Amino acid sequence: MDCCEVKDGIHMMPGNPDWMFFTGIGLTLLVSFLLYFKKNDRRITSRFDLTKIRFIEWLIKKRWVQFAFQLPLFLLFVIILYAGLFGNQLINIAPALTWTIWWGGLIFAILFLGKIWCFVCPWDFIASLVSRLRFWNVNKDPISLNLKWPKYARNITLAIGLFIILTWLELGYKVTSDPFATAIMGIAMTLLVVFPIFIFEKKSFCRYGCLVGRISGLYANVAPIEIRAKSHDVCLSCKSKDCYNGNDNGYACPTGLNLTGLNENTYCIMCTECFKSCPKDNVALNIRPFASDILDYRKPRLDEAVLAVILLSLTSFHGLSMTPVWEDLTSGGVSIISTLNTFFGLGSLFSFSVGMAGILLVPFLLYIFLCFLSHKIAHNEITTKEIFVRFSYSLIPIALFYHLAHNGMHVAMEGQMVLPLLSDPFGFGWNLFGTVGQTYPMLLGDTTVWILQVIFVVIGHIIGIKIAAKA
Amino acid sequence: MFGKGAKSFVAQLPLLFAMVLFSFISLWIMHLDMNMRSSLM
Repeated sequence: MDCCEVKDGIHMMPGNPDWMFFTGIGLTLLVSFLLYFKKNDRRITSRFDLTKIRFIEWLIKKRWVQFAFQLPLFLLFVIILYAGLFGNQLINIAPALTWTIWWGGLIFAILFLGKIWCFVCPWDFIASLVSRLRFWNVNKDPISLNLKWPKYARNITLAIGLFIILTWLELGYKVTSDPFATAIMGIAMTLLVVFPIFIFEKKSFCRYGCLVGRISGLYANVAPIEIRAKSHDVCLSCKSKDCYNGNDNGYACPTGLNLTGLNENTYCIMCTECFKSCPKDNVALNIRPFASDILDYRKPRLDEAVLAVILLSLTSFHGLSMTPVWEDLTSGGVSIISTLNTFFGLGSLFSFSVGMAGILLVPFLLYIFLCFLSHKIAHNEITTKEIFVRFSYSLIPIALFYHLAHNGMHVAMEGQMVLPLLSDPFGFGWNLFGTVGQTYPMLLGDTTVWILQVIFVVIGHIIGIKIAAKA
Repeated sequence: MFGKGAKSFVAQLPLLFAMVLFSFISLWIMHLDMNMRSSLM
């Protein structure tokens, strides 16, 4: 098994070798020109409805099922909070479980299972419990003022802002290695979810404000799973719209969706309430080809387009901020941070903030400029804004698969660190499973990780090219 | 969106360039050495 190099106490993973880097570039260039201008692209559009399997249909209609999945996640969340707040700050499971296992693994879960995180979300569990005062049965009069989400905020700007703040805290304050700060962020997120549920109707924060939900929402359009109407004709003939309004068997869709017009995964939180409320049994849990929604996105929106570009910038920034180009931790050599420190002389956090703002803005402005260029060359009525909105969806798979490549590296190379911590999660000197003091090999060697990373980037590029070609 | 013809082909090149550039940046970042999180724990 390969291992990271250690320099001055810093574990360094060597980057991809030159030949792999150039092979990756060669492949992206090749597929770009082979696929972009290819005509008559045939697509598989078939679906398999998992509710045709009796057991799944039975399970999905039981109200206690979501509770049964959310409860273990809630207990794990409580353990993380306890560890972070009251545990030893050096030996502590909170950062590894949160940032390596959860944040690292979340993107893989989205790729295969779509919005599954929303189904098991412990923050939603707490918010639902304190508002509905029921473990799983329907309460038609939950504690809430039931106000409409403000009209000016009916977009995902709040989620974009929270994502930028999270990234700044995560990387600027190095929260990923701080158990106490990790717990505080968990509590802050809980408050962000719980307060709005007492004020606004349904689960408005999930729809407009949740950064995890909105990021996973865009990514989930690539996932091979969807909740959709079995028959649109049945939906169109339905007068009661129970999926939207709710009834004795199920809550109204928490994000205000109506199955009739549901064509994308973006705002579906897979709560499965529509399976319970639909009186015509017209809801399907489909397995489908990857990237089905995103290849044929019907309702492109400016706010989603902005998030797509920001996602690309910030996921790249996650990777860049770990490299000596950004900050040289070993020798104090020249890096972006050291250069900004010398220039401004206002400390590392200020330099970090300026550098992060630059990395957010430069790709954004560059992309706008390229859209403007495209508009000028085309010389027709299509505006720069229309090009920006329509083509930004082609950046989503590039961001998603880079995110997978980056997070996969964390899980593969750092995931094993959780094993010793499982025996002593709070650093109290326990050895519950006899794993304390043991060293475990990385899940994958660095060569395997490199190959997978290049494959991920090329796959993301291929899907992106196919989307752009259809736009 | 751009219609057909040579002009449409050229009009799409900046967007194609953007995608290649972003994928190139992804590959370049992964080409660099990385400080692993384990060193911070």
